[in-house]
Amino acid sequence: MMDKVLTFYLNNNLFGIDIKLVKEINRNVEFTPVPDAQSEVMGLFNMRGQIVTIFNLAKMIGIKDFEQKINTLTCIILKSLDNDQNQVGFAIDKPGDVIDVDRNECELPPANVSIIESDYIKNVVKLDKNLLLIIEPDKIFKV
Amino acid sequence: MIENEEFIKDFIEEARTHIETLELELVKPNPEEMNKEEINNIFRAVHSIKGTASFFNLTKIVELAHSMENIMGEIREDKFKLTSDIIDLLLASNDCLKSMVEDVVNSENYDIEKFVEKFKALKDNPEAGVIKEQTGVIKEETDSNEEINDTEIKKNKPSFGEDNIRVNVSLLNILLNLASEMVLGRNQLIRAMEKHRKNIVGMDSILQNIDHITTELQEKVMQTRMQTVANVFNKFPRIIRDMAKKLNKEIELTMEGEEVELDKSIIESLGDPLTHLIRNAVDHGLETVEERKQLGKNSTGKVTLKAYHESGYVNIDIIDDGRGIGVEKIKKKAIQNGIVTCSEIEQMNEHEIVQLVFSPGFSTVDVVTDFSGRGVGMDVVKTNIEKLGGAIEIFTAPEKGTTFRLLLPLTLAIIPSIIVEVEGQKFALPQVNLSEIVRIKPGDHNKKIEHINNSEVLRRRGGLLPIIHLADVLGIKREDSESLMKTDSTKTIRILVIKMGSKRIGIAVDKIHGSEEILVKPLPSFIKDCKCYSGVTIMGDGKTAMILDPDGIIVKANLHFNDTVNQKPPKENFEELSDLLTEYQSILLFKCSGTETMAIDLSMVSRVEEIKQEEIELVGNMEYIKFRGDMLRVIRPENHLQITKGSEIYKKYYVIIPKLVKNPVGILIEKILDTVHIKIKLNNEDISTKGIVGSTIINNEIVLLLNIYELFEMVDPKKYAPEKLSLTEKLTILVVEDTPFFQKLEKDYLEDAGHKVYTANNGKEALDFLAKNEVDMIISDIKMPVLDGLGLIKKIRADKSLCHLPAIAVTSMTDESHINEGLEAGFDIYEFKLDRTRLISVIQEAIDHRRSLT
Repeated sequence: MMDKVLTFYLNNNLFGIDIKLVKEINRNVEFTPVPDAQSEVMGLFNMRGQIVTIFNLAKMIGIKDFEQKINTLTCIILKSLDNDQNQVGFAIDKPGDVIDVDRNECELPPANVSIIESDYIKNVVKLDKNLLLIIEPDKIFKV
Repeated sequence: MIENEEFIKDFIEEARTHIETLELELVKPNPEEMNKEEINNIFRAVHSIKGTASFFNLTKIVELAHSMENIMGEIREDKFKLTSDIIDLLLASNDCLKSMVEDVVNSENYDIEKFVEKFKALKDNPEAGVIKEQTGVIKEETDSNEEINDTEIKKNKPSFGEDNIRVNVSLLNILLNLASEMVLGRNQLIRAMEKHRKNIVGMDSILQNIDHITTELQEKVMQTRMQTVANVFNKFPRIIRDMAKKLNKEIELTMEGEEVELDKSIIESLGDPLTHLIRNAVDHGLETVEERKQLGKNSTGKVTLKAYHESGYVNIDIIDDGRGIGVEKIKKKAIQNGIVTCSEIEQMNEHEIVQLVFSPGFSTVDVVTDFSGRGVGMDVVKTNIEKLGGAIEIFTAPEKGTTFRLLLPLTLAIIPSIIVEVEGQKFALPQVNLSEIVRIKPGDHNKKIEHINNSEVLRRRGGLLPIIHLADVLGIKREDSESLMKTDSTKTIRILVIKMGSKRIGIAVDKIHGSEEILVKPLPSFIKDCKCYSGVTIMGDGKTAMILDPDGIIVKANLHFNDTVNQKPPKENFEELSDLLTEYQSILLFKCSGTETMAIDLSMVSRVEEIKQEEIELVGNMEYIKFRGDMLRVIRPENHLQITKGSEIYKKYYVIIPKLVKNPVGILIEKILDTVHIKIKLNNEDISTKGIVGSTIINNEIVLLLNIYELFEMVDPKKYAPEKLSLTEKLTILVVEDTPFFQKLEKDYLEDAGHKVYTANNGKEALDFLAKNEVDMIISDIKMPVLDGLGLIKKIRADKSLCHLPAIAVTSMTDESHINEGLEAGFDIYEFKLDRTRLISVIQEAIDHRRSLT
């Protein structure tokens, strides 16, 4: 059994997301910060007339924060559910490749990964050179 | 005759669809194999027609539909087989039904006996053979019947229902969304093309065209969703009647402004809150008949529902004249129900205490009744109204009554906004809440921000305006906020003065970018917690911007509104409550060559022109200017009135051109100071001189209100002096007018002409006066608080002891529809404010007119 996974980099860590959940990747996203909102929300972005909430994924899963100076980002926009008005995206450093992942290579997060992190990480894939963390968007971006 | 004629169009449309369904079902191939569902469809269709027709008392339609329904009922229960003969009969009947519906006015004259009998025969004698024989006859008859109907229809074209079609609401919603996106697209286009407008030939007019069409398109689409509040109001007479019976109270319901329109979605969500408030008013508000008698009140309690437009909002007032809500009672209940503690309530002022009514778990009535008093409600009402982007206010006075005021936005989707910027970020602020913009330049001593401890305030319109910085409220780091001084006094500051109901605050921002029609998109649920925003929008440059919610900002900034002058919470007696509602007057403040500040009512000003000294020409000792190709005489008030004169000669002057005057004369003044919109307390005793109505104090200065009629009379007595009318009798006249200025003016005129004059400030006062005193005539304004002129005249005409009184309406609302409305309500004469000679001369006309009627 093979799954297609979109990989991306956050602060030199390799992450992946099930490609079926991804709507598109946007470069040069000009977003508007929302003062007074929870700190995980980086801002809002106009995607062809629809409002997308951009999250700071790095901060949420506890790795080093972005440098906040830049106002343009590369973002992965997720597909929204049919009955959900909310469009969600998150900022990444740069996108990687789309790779095939064998389910047999997947493992649940090992026991020494902290609870918060293991909540966000669905699987760990043992690639040849390094480990790939597959994130679980449902848990990360719940309202 | 048809009852409930106003709904007949709806009936026709509905019946048409049913008849169509019927026909479609009936003409399906293989009628013998019709399933239950299809038979049910037919049954339901006929049944609906019958039901609605009986509401209009259309007996023939009901009878025919009833017969059809009966037979379908039998078929449904398998007592009958649906043969093609029965279908023929049904179809023929259906055709007849169709003709009757299309020609509903004459439907009673149709002959339906033959169908009804056939159906009856069929039911009594369900043998197939008999039916067959009979239906043969029917066929012939129906054919001829159809012909008759056809010709009848041609002769007697149906006059109803032609100009309406049914449209699915979801389609309207899609249209609305598209129109909204179109507005957005237009904004982006215009912004992008701004630089090229002049370079590309013809581009300017194309853009303008698109601009206009888009705006109009959006307005029209919006209109398709507008419904009158009558849609919700209409169910209340029934509710009131039922409750009155059950609770043993006498209640009179008055509804005003049913024609006011609101967006469909708002109308729909309004039903429950309004019902709740009405029930509260009847159940808790109004006393029982005995209680009312003991208090010396009219045994019939009054509940008024009133919808009207005010500053971009639609207000709905629910007014009762019952026992009001006592502050002590609220205090007691609030503590009892654990909403606040004793020590907390000590700190609260009256206004805040009254607001406790809206807290969850609050109910003041001791007994739980069928209708209300279960301790849920007001908080739900409040949340529901706020969900719609509205607000609710409460005014109450013990023993006098309670008024709930709902402030509702006209529509939800597109709103004009002003784009502001703080620390490089743009925000949209809905314009409905904006009352003015103040710019404070560094070093300006007249306008500067002052401090009370750490809070900043601005003196504005005689009061102190609390100032908050948008950046602070939103938690944006301000670059200039290192020092304790909150405002950088070396920078120009822009302050948006926000009005929410009776609250006012100033919000300081860095920049103002002008206004834009913005499309409101709902907030993503991730940031719902931020109170400061009411939505998101996409601006012309394609970027998103947050829409600010002034109410939320007030909450976030932790502002407490107290009983201040600006706010004037209702006091103990009703007079002050009505004072709260008095009409505002717009006046123009100016200076002549002297030192006095003069004022004139703006409704009397046609326009103000700037002229240069050399344009004034002397003819004899009179001064003239050229105005629109004509000679216009100008006068200097200081030469005629007892006010100071300056000797300086100015290079330029202003000329006020008055309106509502015969032979106008321009008034030459030196300086225009301001226009203000205020309530005027007129003092006509201290300064009493001809040409001046009286004095008042505005912004701590004495202001003299000019009486232009008297002034003109002094200038040219021959031309302007009122004709001395040969009156056979001196009349006693009641002048009903809420604006002191006009009240005084009318009184003066009438007294000059030899009449005896009494005054009342509104319709209610007038009625109270009339109950005790006799007068010969009434002269009334139309727009007044508490009870307006139309309401007053209706009451007078309905009262046997008063209906003979001649009445003149004097108003500044001068369009055709208002005049007709006034005359229909019962005024004899409708006059415009305020032509002295006319006023005196129409008195006799009014008397004659009334006499001719009675």
